[in-house]
Amino acid sequence: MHRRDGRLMSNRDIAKSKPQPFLEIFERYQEQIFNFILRMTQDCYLAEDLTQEVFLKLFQSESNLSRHPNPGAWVFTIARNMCLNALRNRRSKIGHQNIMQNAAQEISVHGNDPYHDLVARETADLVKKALAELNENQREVLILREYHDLPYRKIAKITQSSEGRVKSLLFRARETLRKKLQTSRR
Amino acid sequence: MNCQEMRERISMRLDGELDQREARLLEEHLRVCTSCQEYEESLIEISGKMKLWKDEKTPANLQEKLLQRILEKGEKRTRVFGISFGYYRIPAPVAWAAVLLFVLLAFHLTKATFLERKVVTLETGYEVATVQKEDQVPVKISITSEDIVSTTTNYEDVNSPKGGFK
Repeated sequence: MHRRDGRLMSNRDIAKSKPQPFLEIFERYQEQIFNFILRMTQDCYLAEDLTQEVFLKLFQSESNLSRHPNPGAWVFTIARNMCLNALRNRRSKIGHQNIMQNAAQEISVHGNDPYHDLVARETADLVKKALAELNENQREVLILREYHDLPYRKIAKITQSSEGRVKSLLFRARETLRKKLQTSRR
Repeated sequence: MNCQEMRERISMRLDGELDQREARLLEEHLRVCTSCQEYEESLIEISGKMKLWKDEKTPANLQEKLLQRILEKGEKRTRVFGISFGYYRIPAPVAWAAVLLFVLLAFHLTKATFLERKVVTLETGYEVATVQKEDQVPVKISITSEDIVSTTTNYEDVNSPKGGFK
């Protein structure tokens, strides 16, 4: 319950007072944005905090939201910019190597076979580490492509670059990931 | 085309971004190049491995925390501008324009009252006097002796008692 103008109001009241386009975007993208930030930062608490920041910013510019031709790409652009800022701030505080050590969040692998789960978890952990070692530009395009299944055109819009650059970044990201995963398998 | 260029196309084909003509060229190259075939297999394998990192559920109270932060932001803004109707606040330019209008109006009213009092104190020495300015109806105004700044002289022509003024 929250106070508003001297009376108590429930979350439902607040939700009703919120503009409809914002609610629709929130419902539709909250999980995608949370997972995008989580994979970018590999920090669960930071991902939760930044997801709130993204939607807070979106709420404040709600008047533009209803007029935006592609609100989905816009939400991802806000999330992407916030991620890059947060990563830059964190790097300047603790250094790149420590980011890896700090990212101690456990990867979830859903399955019924315990042995298969264990192997899958270890593999996913290797992928996670390799992803964290990619530079931010390569990491973001690879995440947007592999986990969000976005075409080059949309990735270019979100990352504010060209399709040619997206193509080249993806190729290099896969190349780096392949080498890192091969090294860790040995 | 060399293997390096073909590998870029392998990456594109994996993403469904390769046009038919280039896909045909790639197919022809893959038929004769085992190294690129292995490369393609390795990229498919990596993509499969990446998919093992499943999506996480968003924290259960994410929406509630977000609503709380939206409210806090709204309250902070209300404190700055001091005006709100329900959840919605008045935008800053409108709020400041209203404040400016209020100040101007208050100044105008104060000034008018002040001028009116000045007229009264100049024209009478009585505590209760009738003042009539040009084009106005007579008005009775209460004043105190402190308001009297000077005593006046000849009001005989406006029917005042002879010698009644100090």
